[in-house]
Amino acid sequence: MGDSHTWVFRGRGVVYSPGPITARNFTSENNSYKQDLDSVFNAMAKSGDSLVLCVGEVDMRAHYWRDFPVFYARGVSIEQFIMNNVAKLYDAIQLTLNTYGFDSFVLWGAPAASIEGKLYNKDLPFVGSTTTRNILIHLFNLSFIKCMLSNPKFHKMGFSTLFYNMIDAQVNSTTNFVTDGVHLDEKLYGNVIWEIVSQIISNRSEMVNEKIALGALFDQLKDHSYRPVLKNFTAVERDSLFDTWILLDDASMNLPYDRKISISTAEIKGDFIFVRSDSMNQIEKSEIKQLALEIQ
Amino acid sequence: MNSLEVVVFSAIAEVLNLPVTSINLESKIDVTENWDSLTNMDILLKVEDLLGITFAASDLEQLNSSRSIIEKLQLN
Repeated sequence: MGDSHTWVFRGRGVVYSPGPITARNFTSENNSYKQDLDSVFNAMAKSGDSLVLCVGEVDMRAHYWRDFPVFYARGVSIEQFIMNNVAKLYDAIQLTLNTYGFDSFVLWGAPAASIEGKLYNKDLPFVGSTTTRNILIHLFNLSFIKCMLSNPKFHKMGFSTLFYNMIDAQVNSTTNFVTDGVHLDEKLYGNVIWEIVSQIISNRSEMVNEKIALGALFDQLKDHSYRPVLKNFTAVERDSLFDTWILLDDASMNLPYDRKISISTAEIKGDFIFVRSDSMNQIEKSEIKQLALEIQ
Repeated sequence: MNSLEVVVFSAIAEVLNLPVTSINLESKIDVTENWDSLTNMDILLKVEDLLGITFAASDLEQLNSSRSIIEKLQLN
């Protein structure tokens, strides 16, 4: 159940997508997508069923980066911002599992973002570069796993993803795994994804949250911190692509970050200023707020 | 309609591109036309700019209805 990433499960069990439901929609009882899902659960869910949920990709692609500068200007880190959102999703999932009597649960994670240059259209909007969106996906995954580990109320929960097989240590996508800029090809990946999810569900009695393992790359990335990098954003337009994320370790070395950014069709060499959130003054905060307004 | 409601309803109407007469105390995210998580932030920033105030980060996600915004403003 969930967003369009349920497509890779078509033909396997009951698959239903009410539309581009976001993680935030899933936490809202007023939301029509959530109400659609609840209607399906009410009509079909039997005690003991397993639920595989696909939500979050739309948030990471289009919502989080757009909203985050507003929160950052108020002192919220990207890690905390995403954790706040994921914790609400986690609570909503727990409520769903208990309400409908699901026996086991798997959150299927988003695939890596497409490599820059992929054309998007209004139906698949995005903000941020490939790396930016991959960092958001990683932080979302990490936050969900932290929720599972710290709140093991429902022990038959799992999280799985191919994301860490699709990126390198710099969080770049290693190739274009997605066909339309967003979705995995169900013909290529459907069987392997179903096998992964089925294993989690069938072995649920042994599925202890502490045994979650997403591989060496996840282990390597899980302790990294990220900060936005400021520059003069006056030229940034609403639909621009830009990358303002770096590893905090790189920032501390005060090295120039020569990543290219694209503003509309023009490509500009990045000349970023590294700023730690604890050293921000009011002028810089107002600049971020202005950025937020420009993005929106 | 008091002055605070005028400001908030006007901000909501402008962001959502709706007539101000269609906004009332029952207007809220996921119910009122065009009011979703993206436009919600636009509404809050618009209210901040109009009133010269800044909402706390911890309040932002709870402020998703005309009533909650007005009640928050009345507390300040």
